[in-house]
Amino acid sequence: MARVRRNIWSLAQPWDPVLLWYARGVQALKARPFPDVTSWRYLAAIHGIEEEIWREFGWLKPDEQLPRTAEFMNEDQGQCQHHGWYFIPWHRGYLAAFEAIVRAAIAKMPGGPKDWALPYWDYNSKVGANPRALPEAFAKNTWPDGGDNPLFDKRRYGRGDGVVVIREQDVDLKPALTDGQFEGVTNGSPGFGGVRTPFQHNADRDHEGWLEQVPHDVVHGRVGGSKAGQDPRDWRFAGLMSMPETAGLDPIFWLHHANIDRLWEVWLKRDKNHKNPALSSWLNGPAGRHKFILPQPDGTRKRFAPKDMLDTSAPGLDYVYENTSDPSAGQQRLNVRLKTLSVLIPGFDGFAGPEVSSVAKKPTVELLGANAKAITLSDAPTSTTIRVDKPTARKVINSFRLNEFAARSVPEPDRVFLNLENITSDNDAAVFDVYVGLPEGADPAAHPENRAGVVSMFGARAATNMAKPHGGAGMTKVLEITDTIDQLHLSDNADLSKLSVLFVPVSAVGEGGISIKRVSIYRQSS
Amino acid sequence: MRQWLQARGFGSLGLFLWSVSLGAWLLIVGGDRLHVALPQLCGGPSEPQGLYALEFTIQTIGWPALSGGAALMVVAMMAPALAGPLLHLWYRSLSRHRWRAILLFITGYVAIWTIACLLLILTAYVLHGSTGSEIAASLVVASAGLAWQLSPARARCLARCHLRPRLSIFGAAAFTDPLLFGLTLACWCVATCWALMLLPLCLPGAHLPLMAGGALLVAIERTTQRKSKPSGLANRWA
Repeated sequence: MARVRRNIWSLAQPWDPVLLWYARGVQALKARPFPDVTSWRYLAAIHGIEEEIWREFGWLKPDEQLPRTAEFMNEDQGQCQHHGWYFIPWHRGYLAAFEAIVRAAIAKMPGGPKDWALPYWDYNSKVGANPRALPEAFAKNTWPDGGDNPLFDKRRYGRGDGVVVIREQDVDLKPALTDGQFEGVTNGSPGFGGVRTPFQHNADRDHEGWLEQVPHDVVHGRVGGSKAGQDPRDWRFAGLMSMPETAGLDPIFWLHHANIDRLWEVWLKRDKNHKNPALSSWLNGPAGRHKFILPQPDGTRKRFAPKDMLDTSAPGLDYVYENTSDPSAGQQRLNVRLKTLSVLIPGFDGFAGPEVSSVAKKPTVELLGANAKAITLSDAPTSTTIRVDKPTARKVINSFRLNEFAARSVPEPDRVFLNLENITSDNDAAVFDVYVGLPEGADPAAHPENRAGVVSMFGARAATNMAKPHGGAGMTKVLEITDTIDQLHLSDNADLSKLSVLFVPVSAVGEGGISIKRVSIYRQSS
Repeated sequence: MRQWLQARGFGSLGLFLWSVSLGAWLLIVGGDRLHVALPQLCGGPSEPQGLYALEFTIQTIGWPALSGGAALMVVAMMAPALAGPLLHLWYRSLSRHRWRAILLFITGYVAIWTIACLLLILTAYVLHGSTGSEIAASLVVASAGLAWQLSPARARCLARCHLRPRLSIFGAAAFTDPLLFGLTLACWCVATCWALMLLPLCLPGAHLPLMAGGALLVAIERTTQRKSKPSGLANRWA
């Protein structure tokens, strides 16, 4: 029978046996030497490693060297997949390998259960007073066995003073769960799972999927944070969870990713049209450097491909989640939009087109407008204005016309996406909100309807570093602003030739800490 | 098969660029005037030296053939490496301006490379004259090229080949940005690959095989993924 991964909030707080055994397992793994493929550090280095940072943070002693094995140097270290369509399946395999190794360590302990399964941190849970708070077992350096708590780490700065504050909008599941496509398109909707990529360890080229962007990235930044009173652009003051090179060292990382993995199951089960890619290049991927490979409890290593990660109850994985119910109660992006439009457009009563999640045709995506010059963000709100190209804007306006719509048999008018292009930053922990179409001088907090989304800089430092493969170009973030454009377009007093964009820091950015080469908008026609 | 090709960087654009490269190769092998004249022009120390050599070359085969041959050499060797920049121009330009942006980019890119090729031809002449033989000149270039190929400075130049600039879409900048992109990228490409271009010019007898080898190296370098090292990468190479 498949093991059950349980919601941490449905466990007894703070030290349910599941968490206590996890802490003991973590302690056992931390005691193993680095070259042991089942050690805590080896497993964390598979996600990412940078020697200088590990030394500074004390994870490598002054006289200690990195493992010199060919396996570590050539294949094992630095495998985590980000900003692309392998993010979800790679992390599932990674999590399963980690869980099996911890379980094996626990099983060897006196009284240790043989069926231990990793719990997940459901920050949207209906159970628990504040599901977005860091669970107590991780927040305090005390535990029932005495001595240092293996689940605690002082490099978890949160808002700066060690308190983790996650807002409701930081873990908003709507963009991820309501998008019907797994695979995204460049500059348009990045889809649930991201755009097509080769093996991609560093955040260098393509667009991450909705799930990777929120809640994944934002939770990393909000938990890790950077130390208050210090320069947030200096990695020496960043939290473990803030950087891909150190995130796997934090025990909460694994519960966060168990929830991300669970949300893949939620997305698949909430709509019969939600499907994984059927392309061989995804199923048998990745293309590029080498196949994914991970250690096993017996010290061997095993290769895997996304096709091995499709069924969690299959023998290789053998787990299910306690709860994969749909938090959005079947709500679909297209249905919500059409309902809004039916209120805004007189005589509009929906279209008889196909469901968007069943549209197989690749959509057309084209540039609609851009701002005049590169901008830098600091700790105060920063604004810029996008000038819209008139001929392309006419296509968007025409897409709202009922006759055009019916003639083309498309399911909906154009969608519009805000692109923050080639973002460079040395501050991985920064998080900021983005607003579009706010009236001049308006308080953004009073206009949640203009909030396009929240952006985390998780991985930005590597994408900015020219010494990294393909580094230096930064990364591009995409936010959907279709709802705002619908409202603006259909209101009589809106000027669609220009669109204001406001960036409001949520955490410390630092003076000129983030640079955005171009802020643009794209239309996506289905 | 299509998926297999795409997974290895041979999508429709990749195949198109390889076809363009192949076309240039066929023209070269078929005998464009510069490449036919090379063995004669780079014949050794008895030939004219320095600027006189260039003048002699121009008089012999003419400016159009000289610069055309150089441009053909660039297309043959560099076209497959341009998929990334071309996609950047395509996605980041207004749809009605995409081809214009690409044309401006190619103009800048080929212009810089053509000038660089002419300078490399001149350098090859100078090396022939000063060393006294093709072999000696080739050894000098091979040694210097190998040192350059392994140097951090060259890695920095290569990293800059992967940068993607901001592209403005309104006003004069909508014209100058793609052009400047082509000019700048070509400068970094020249700095990265000059040795691969110079070596075939120094050894006219083995010009084509060496050129093909250089092209293969460029293609491998641009299409295979470098591996991130865990050590010593915390400092920016800005």
